[in-house]
Amino acid sequence: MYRWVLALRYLVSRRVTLIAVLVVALCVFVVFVVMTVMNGLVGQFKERTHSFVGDCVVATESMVGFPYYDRFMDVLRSEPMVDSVSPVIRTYGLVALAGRQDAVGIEIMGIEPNSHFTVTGLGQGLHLHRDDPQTAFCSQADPNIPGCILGIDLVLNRDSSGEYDYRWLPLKATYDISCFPLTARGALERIGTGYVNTKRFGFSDVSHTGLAREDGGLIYVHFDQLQGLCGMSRPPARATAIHIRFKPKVSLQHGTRQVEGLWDRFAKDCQGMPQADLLGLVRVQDWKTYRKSTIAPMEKEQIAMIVMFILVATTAVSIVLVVFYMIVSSKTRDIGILKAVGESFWGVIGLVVNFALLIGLVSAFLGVLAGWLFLRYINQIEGWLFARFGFQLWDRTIFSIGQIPNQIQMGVVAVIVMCALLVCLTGCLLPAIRAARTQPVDTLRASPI
Amino acid sequence: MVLLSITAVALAVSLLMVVSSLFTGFIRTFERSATDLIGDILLLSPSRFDHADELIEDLRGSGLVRAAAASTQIPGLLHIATGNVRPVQVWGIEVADLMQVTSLGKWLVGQAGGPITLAAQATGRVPAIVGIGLLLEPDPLTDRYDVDQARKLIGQRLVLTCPAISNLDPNQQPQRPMRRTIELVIADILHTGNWLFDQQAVLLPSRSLQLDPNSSQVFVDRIQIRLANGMDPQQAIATISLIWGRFAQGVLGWGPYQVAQAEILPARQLQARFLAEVRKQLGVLLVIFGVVDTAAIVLVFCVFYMLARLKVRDIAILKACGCPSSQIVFLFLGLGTVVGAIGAGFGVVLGYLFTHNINYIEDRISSLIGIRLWDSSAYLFEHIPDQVAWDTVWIIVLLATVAAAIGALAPAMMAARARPVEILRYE
Repeated sequence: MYRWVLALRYLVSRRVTLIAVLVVALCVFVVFVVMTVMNGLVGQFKERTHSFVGDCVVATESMVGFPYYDRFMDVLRSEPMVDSVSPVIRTYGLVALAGRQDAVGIEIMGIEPNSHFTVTGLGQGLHLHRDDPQTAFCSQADPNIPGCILGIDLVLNRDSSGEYDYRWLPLKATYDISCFPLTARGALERIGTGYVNTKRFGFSDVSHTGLAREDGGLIYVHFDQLQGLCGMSRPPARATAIHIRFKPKVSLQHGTRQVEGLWDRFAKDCQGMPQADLLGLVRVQDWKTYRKSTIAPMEKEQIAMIVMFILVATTAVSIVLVVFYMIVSSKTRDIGILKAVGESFWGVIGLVVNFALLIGLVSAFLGVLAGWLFLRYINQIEGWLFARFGFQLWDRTIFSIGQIPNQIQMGVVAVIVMCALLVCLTGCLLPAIRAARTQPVDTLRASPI
Repeated sequence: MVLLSITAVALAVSLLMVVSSLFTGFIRTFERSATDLIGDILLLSPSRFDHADELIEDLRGSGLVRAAAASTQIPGLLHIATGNVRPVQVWGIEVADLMQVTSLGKWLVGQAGGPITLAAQATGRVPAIVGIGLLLEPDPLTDRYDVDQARKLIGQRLVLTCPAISNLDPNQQPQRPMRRTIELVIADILHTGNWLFDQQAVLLPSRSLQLDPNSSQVFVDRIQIRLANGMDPQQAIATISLIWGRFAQGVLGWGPYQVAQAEILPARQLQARFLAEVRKQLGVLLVIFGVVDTAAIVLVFCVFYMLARLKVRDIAILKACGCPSSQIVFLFLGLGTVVGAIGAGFGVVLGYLFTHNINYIEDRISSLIGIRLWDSSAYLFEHIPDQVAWDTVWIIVLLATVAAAIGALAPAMMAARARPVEILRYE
């Protein structure tokens, strides 16, 4: 007990201890704030990606697609672990305002609203049809032509607060979408005719997924329409992907493994059937693997940041070391007395370690408290900086980021507190050993001041 | 203990130096990539136009322009092999002109013979220069393309589908988009190191993209310009605008409004907004690490404080011998500055070694853990920028040295206040 009392007394009475407390608290504060914001961004991105993709995807990278997707969907629907499935075509085409020739190349996604809005959260990102996503492909301009949903950044600009002004929606716009029909062998279907497959679509809605690539470069049309445009509707009809949502209690790994097994069996059963060779190009992946190319760099950046903070932490360790060295040097008499009255080697080590733990706890508390306060008002602070100095952490007109994420994750807090304690313990180790080796006879004799 | 201070300063300096060099390197690579791919200035016309050779002649005649190339860019679909169709950006170019404006020549994998010779060899098919990323996948571990394998693909046949280019006359009757299906032969392969360009670019002679390839008219929508040596792009733009205005009104018969719609801008400014954001992120990171690195100042303070206490008798003897307090202060401050300077020196060496060998280090780590840390598909470039940003380094070194001196200031004052009579008496 006396060890804690002594440690507490040193903490209160020794001003130099304050330096160690402040430095460790500063490090805790910075790491806490940066990691919370970074984790928030990565988590937000993953969440949006998951919402956009669904749980699992059976897909081919080839634009030719794969046949018998409808049969496999029936197989999936009969599985108790599967909640819903949706066929998808992703392809590239040319889009021009109706009657204009200056087309732009763009990615086009064909979806069935009934199933796709159940499998994914895409329906939640619609503006005009959020409450009734099933009618999402009803053209605003002309009810007699099919509608298309445009990625929001294709038609609207974000303002400095990251908001869109929906008054500028092109409600009366119609678009000519041209796709190049491909045969199952990947050859062009209509060589020599001079025309692409072109169809006119009316603007029906905008989609806001929060994913920059999708919002700035994707047009959604009805699956059947795109299938016809791409020449994929001739029997056996083709799709490029099947998106799957699992029942709530099915784990991602288990569900994906099951689908993989089902797909392998299905592909074997289809051997010998027309175009069955295309099934060999199909992969079954969970949403994280499917979008690995976009998620992995963010995770790597997170790791790089952690490594840099670890490097910085070595300075904090050094400070703790120096502070403890100073305290131990000035308290040699106290330690000598303790040892003279029977305190053991480990007893003295325990005393210094307790002191270090106390410093670590106080620092971590102060750092987390300051971090929590800063995070709580981080968006207000940024707003003030923007209003006063025109400074924004991220330019919202460029980046698809809303508010700065400031949700505190207890896991992050726990790890940072543990690290702070570890820094203090590491820093106190050498001084503690030095203190424990103190000989009472050396320290208690009379000496010059 | 002084060694500890030096280490802390060195670590802080090297960290800031590496962060600053990586970001600055990325920005510079991005800007250099733009000028290498485009030239110094890009003239973007609101509509396609003919007689670009006359405009180029006028530009050259001004003395400002070393070379200029007319080009056009359209989307397309490239049929590479069975079931392998990729979206591409098709550039209608004149190879000889473009080679003078851009660094195209050094990016061609085949080189021997060059694309112009191959054009004659490829009877009946249009010679194309194709981005390496369209034909090959980079090695998943090294993220590098197999250039030898790429060379073997020269001569392979491809099919491209894209909109046909015609003059976009506003009075023209609306038409359905016309498609051109062009049979290509790979004349050479392009390996720029810019991931996006390598993944998307198909370069063809401008004439082959026209609605009527046999017509004498070649419609283009942009002029890429390489300025004469020493010319400032911002100053050249005014003259180029005048030449463009004269050409568009005189030769093309355009009205002033249409002429003014053209954009003439330095290639470096094409991504100016994005790069400004990268610079801002660099600033934020430097502030974050700068704040954390104040710990190094505290460390210097602690060490010097301890030093002042340990050496209190020496100080007292000095003062007893007549040394003034100001000299004691200067002694400690000098020591602090030296510690800062030595630490900063070591930090610079450490930072330089790390930055300069960052690609090697990344290779080693990747082969060790089996995961590529730098992915060109995410960061655009195949190589991590490894040039040290010396202009920032000097600032960091200066700040570190001053910071170390500041850290030593309070202990110096404390040492200067030492009273010999109290310290040197014997208890």
